[in-house]
Amino acid sequence: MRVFVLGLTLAFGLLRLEAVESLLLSGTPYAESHPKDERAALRVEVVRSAAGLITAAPGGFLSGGVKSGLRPIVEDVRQVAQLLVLDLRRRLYTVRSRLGVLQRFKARCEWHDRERLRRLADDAQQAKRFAEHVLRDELTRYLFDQGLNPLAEAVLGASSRADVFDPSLGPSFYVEAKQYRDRAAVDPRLRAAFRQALDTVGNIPGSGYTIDEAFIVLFRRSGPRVLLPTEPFMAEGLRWHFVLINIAEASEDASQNTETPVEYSAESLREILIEVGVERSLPVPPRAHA
Amino acid sequence: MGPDVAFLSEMLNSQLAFPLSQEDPAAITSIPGFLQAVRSEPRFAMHLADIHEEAQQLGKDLLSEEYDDGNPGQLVERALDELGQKLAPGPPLDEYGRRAPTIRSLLHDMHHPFVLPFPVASGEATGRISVLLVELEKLANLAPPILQLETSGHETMVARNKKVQWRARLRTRADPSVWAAAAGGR
Repeated sequence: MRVFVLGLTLAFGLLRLEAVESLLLSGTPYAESHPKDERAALRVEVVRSAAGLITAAPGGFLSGGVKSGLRPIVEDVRQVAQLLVLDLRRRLYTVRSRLGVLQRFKARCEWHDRERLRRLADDAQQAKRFAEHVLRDELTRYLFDQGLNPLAEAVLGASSRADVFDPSLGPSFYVEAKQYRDRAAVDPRLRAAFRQALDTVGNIPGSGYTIDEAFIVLFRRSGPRVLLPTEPFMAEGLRWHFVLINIAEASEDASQNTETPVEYSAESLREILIEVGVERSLPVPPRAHA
Repeated sequence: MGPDVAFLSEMLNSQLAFPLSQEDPAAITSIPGFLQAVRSEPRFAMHLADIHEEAQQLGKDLLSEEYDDGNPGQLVERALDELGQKLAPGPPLDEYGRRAPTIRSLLHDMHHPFVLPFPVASGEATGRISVLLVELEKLANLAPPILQLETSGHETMVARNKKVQWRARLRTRADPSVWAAAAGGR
């Protein structure tokens, strides 16, 4: 609850700081949120009586009247700056801690658990089950052990299934796990991950849940390494993070792997994401009758 | 979490230290530098963008409250037309002629965003609805009997506007009137 109130406070607070900034730098006494459409934006205006005081401040000598007039404004600005720093730190720790947990899982898999995971995936495949499901279940168990409350295969809406979804904390996060064994599978798997993530997130509005981050976890069982961006990017209202977990045999690793890595920049992944989004919005062609 | 978090956290502390340590009210001039420093770090910039998104959503919510699901200006427009028809020629009509274009432009500026004044405790009118109401009050002085025809609707709008502004200020948690009202059990 406290975090919720803080969040609301911040929206106004940041705009208040920005209104002061734009008044000092350009003489424009307002700041507003960046409107995505023509309607609706939140604007904070420095009122006329305060604008004069603030613009007088850079002028060097301040009269006693200006100083006393400025005092409550400066107090407010200081309080807002403190709240902003507090909230930025909270957001920073939340994002970094989620990412940190996944990075730790990556290290655990790659350093200590490669063979077992590879065997699990191989056995599942031989038993005509999805290899990615057993790997995903490993990840879910790990997240649970780290104190999170993940649900695997959570049904959201009529047919969307989230690979891993933690509804216990809002805004929540979502994990889509995929695996590959050869170069040809990489692109389709990433597209499938985006498609499933978008389907799931599309079912969220109005459900009482919110998701602000998606983690795409790609297990490499064999084939070329995939180089994924280390910093997240924003798209479709989510912040997307990418983690490659290498569980390939040692003989296929490092210097012994002669295959050229497949590299994805943040921009190329964003383009794929947009393409997938467009494909989803197209009507499904009717199936041909046998 | 890694060492980068400690570094970023320390950076935030050092950026905040300067505006906080200055006794002189002229410390307000350090705000642009503070914001620019925070924005220049991509790992903070993405969170600032999130806060702007939240402001955007909040603006939408408040705007729909302010507009009362569509058409708050209809009442003002009716009163304005009626005044224009009934005012006697001479100074009152001249005054009406001077003020009416402002009111009409505000009426048709439907994309004007929800506005919160800063400092929040100031009594100055900002924003489309607040300015409209102030202008209407001034016109009311020209022809009180005519405007009384619309009094009940006008009062509703004034009350609604006050409520929306108050709710917005409640969210800022910094307006002294909010604390005073909370203390008084409002």
